Amino acid sequence: MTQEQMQQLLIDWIKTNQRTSNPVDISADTELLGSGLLDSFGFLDLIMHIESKTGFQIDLADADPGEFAVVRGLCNLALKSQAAQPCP
Amino acid sequence: MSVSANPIVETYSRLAREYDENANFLSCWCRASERALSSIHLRDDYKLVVDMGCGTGRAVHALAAGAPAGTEFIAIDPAENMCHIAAQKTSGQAVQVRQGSFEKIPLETASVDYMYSILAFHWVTNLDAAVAEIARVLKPDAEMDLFFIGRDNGREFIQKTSAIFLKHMGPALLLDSARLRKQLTQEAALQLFSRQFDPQRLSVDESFTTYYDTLEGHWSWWVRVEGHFVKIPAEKKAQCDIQVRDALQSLAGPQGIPYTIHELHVKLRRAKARH
Repeated sequence: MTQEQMQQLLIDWIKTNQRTSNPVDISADTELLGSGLLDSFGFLDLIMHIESKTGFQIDLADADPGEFAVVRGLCNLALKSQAAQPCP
Repeated sequence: MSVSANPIVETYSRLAREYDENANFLSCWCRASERALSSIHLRDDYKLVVDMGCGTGRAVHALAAGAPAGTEFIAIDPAENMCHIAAQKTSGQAVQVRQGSFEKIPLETASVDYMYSILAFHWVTNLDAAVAEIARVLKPDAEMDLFFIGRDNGREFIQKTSAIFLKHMGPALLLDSARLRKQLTQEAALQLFSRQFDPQRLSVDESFTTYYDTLEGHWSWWVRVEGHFVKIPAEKKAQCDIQVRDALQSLAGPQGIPYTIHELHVKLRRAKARH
């Protein structure tokens, strides 16, 4: 999956499942936790969604908190995990 | 996850004395618990009543004191020290206290007339296994009231503090911590229980109640969530606590600091007689 596809996968899911009723324009730079768009349960669901769509596990062991909570950063983490795992 | 390996259970057991202090029982959680307790009405024909997640035994002590003669109670909790306090509190009443969990209920199959649980079911580790175990121990015409927190519990606090916890815990630990609670939507709860019980006997109500308190008032119930933070290194924990307290204080308005409890109430009632 390319960076663009991954970003779109995340943004589409967040738009459907966001926890705030205020309309928010979601971009690659959108911060997800402090903005109230997602809570920790939302992140669990989002990661499960990415893993189910891509077939690989996202490794959060060394993830940077600042990177994790931003669309682009989470996307990068997912792509790093994809690169580290053998093709299914 | 075994009872002893569960950080929530271990923390509740370690802090059992603190849990039973008045400060915790003056908090919003006590008010929510009292509200749930006051809605429980024991029928005269209940022979065996079970309290799941009895904690220090406040509810079972109150219910047993006003129960019809001949009603037996069994109070169950996974935390050993909670069980000790509950046993002391109910000594002399028709109450047995046993250590167990929703996933492993120490009772015979089809033995229970009425089960209730106040603000405990969200701590289960395996939802389907827990509901199957409840179904196993209930008699076919048993009744049940389970009160537990729902998906949108404590929104104000979560929005203010999640970024702080992320900073101090890191993503992996934060998500591990979230996995310790099973906070369902009303719809998900209905689906879950409908897999084991006749949907015509089942209903799930939900409520959102906002409680206002001071920072210290809310902090007094923090003992209830300490189990989530046991893996934060001590030097980070103190700093984290300071920042969380500041964040909660920033929510203060004229009525105090709000905290909204999203409560689900799963009710199982006898089938209506057909004529």
